[in-house]
Amino acid sequence: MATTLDATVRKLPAGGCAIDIQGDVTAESEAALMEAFTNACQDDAQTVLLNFERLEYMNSGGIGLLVTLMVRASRQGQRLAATGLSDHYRQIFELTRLDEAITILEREDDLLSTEHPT
Amino acid sequence: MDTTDTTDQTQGATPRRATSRSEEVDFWVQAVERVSAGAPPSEAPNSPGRGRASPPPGFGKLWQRTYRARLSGTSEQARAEFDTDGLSLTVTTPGGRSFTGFNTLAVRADGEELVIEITALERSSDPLSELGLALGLMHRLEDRFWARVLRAVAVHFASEPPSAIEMRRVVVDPRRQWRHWRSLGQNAALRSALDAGAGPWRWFRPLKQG
Repeated sequence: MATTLDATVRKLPAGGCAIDIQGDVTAESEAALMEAFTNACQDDAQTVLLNFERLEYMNSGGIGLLVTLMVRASRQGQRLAATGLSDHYRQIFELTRLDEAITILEREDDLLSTEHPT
Repeated sequence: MDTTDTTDQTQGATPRRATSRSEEVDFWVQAVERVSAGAPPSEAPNSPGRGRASPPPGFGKLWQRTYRARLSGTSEQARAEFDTDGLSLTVTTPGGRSFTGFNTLAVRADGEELVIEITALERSSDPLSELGLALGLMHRLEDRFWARVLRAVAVHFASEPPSAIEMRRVVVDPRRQWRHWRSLGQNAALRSALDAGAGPWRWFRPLKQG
């Protein structure tokens, strides 16, 4: 099974950017994910929303990538949020304590009602 | 290699790529608030009861260490087993250890060779451990420890140990998270030292009570 990730960037109506993730997030996804993140930050977006609705698989290498992404965002004064996580991956975010640094949202619209909207 | 045998409720783990979503769910351990390690050996008095850890709440710089060995002379069967997806297993460190983060062991086939790779993504847990890193002592200990682990894993797949181990160490985040300095109180080495230091007091206490 080949590991593939399709990460596309779009602007959010409320400000900020979303990265729609489709496929697998593993250590091999680094180039695609980092490129998408760079593109998302071109307009100085204060919030980058990771949309996992079409995520098929994520392993520990992918979790490591998210940690790296989190560090990059923090350095640039941005915050990361995630939406579309299944119960399973939500539990993994809790297990790895990523939920302490990445805001988990039920829906994309919830970005507007969170503590630090863009 | 059945990775499920190596995981338990004390550590988080991501074994090999699952073939279905339900199987994948089975391969991740459930989240726990507190580590339960059963009855600890007498020389490890403070391992149970610690919370799980990961890079976000650590103290020191965030490092990524990679240790890689290429094994030649492996059987065709072993290479075929890892040909398509490889295998990976991750453990998250329990609180109280010097480092907080994820350690991933991955095995994959690359042509006639098997590649074994260990990736540690971690921060030091507290100021004392960070000082050890700054002095270089902890780096040497970590390098020696993971090289030994790599060689130990290698003997399962090849008749000869790897001729060389590639090591790479990069700083992912150079900032220290001073708000977590209090985790020093959970430093297992420090607590063990204090426990050992209190030994004489425990020996004499029954005499005083008697």
